[in-house]
Amino acid sequence: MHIAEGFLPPIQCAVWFAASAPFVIHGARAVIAKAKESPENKLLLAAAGAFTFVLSAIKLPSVTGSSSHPTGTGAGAILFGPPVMAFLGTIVLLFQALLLAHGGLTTLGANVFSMAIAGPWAGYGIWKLIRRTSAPAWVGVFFAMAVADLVTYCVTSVQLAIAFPDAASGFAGALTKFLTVFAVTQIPLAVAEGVLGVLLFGFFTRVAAPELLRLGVLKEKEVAHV
Amino acid sequence: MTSHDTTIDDAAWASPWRRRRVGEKVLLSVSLVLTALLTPPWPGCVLVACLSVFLILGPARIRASLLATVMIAPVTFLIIGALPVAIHLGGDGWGIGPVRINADGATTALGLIAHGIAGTLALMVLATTTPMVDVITWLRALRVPDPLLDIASLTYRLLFVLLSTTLAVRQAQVARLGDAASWRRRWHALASTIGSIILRSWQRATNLQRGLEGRGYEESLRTLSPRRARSWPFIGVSLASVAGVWATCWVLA
Repeated sequence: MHIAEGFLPPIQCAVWFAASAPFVIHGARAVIAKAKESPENKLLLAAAGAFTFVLSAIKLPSVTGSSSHPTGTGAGAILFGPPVMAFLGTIVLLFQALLLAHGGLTTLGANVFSMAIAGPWAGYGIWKLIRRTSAPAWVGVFFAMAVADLVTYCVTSVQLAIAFPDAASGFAGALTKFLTVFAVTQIPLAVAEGVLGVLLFGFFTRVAAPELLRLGVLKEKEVAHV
Repeated sequence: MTSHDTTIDDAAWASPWRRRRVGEKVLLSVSLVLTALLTPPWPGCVLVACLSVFLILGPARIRASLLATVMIAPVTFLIIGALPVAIHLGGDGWGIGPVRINADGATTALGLIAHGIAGTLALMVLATTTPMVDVITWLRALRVPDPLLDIASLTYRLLFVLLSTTLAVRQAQVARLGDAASWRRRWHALASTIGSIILRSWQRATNLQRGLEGRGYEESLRTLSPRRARSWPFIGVSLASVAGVWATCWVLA
């Protein structure tokens, strides 16, 4: 869930814009560098951005009978790296605000920080950490996507707890409250996104192994086993 | 996902305000968004919401049913999002166990909903009258680097290709009774669908790249945009309307 327009106090909107700006600028520089390497990269990055947008419109079957949607930033971070996702995520969030009325302009900085920066970096960190062990790639994919999703919503909870501390129990009470509310939907959703990621990368390994090798996602011996 | 996902953009292409300068609409919309954020729920947010609805349904000629359809999702999210703000752990008020709701919490939550609805409606003034292509072209004039705008522009164009592809794949799955399959099969079908869409998007991107290279695409992907005359009356009325909201807030305060 994105933080809606008008939901955060003005000062905090400005602080989250300031916090996100260096990451987005860094991401924009990474994107410009990739675009200058080859015009073909522009198209691939645009396709990744469009895919992230579309992914957020695909409903997942849920254990409760309702449905939710994945964030897709974990997969993007594994494929293209977190700096690129910081910029692509910003574009996607801006498009979602203007094309779908999801999120908003004044809360864009906060939403970028949670969905396009914290989530992808956390997911990528877990991916790299697990890849250093002898664990199979699917374990890394599962935890990277699940952690990216969970961290996105944990950071959103922190942002809301800072904005609306509980009258009786302060920041800690508010954080517990928001984490509890989000946990009902987000823990199953994070697990679901992790499972989906494993199936998705399994599909890629079968039909697009050379691309995964070129992007450095998989190693030669892992592709050879398929 | 449904065809409603492109409703706002479709309306923007058809709106008579599309012929107005993007900068003037951004000035009006952003001024209203900031006013909704900075003024109190009453009368500031109420006035911003009323003014935005008037502008969207009146001069911009957007259908009321379309605006209602577009606002359902954000209003639902706002109400759900405001509930945890209204509820407190411990303290006074009504409730069960430590979960309590009191007048202060309810007032804060209602205020948030007012800020959110007013801000979203103010944003819709821009979104329902300005196609994304026009926004991107306007950003080029602000000297945003060409590669970034090219990627934003290509993302926007690929978006509609992907949306139609996804809808087609979903309809094909439903026609093959994919929704009636076992839970395990449905997850595999979902993963294959997403994988197919990614591969198709890469394939489409490669085809687009080849097509553009054939037309001499090397550096930036510039497109022609119609020349729009500056409208001082529009700017004047916009600023006067926003100033009117602030003046009303000040007088009533």
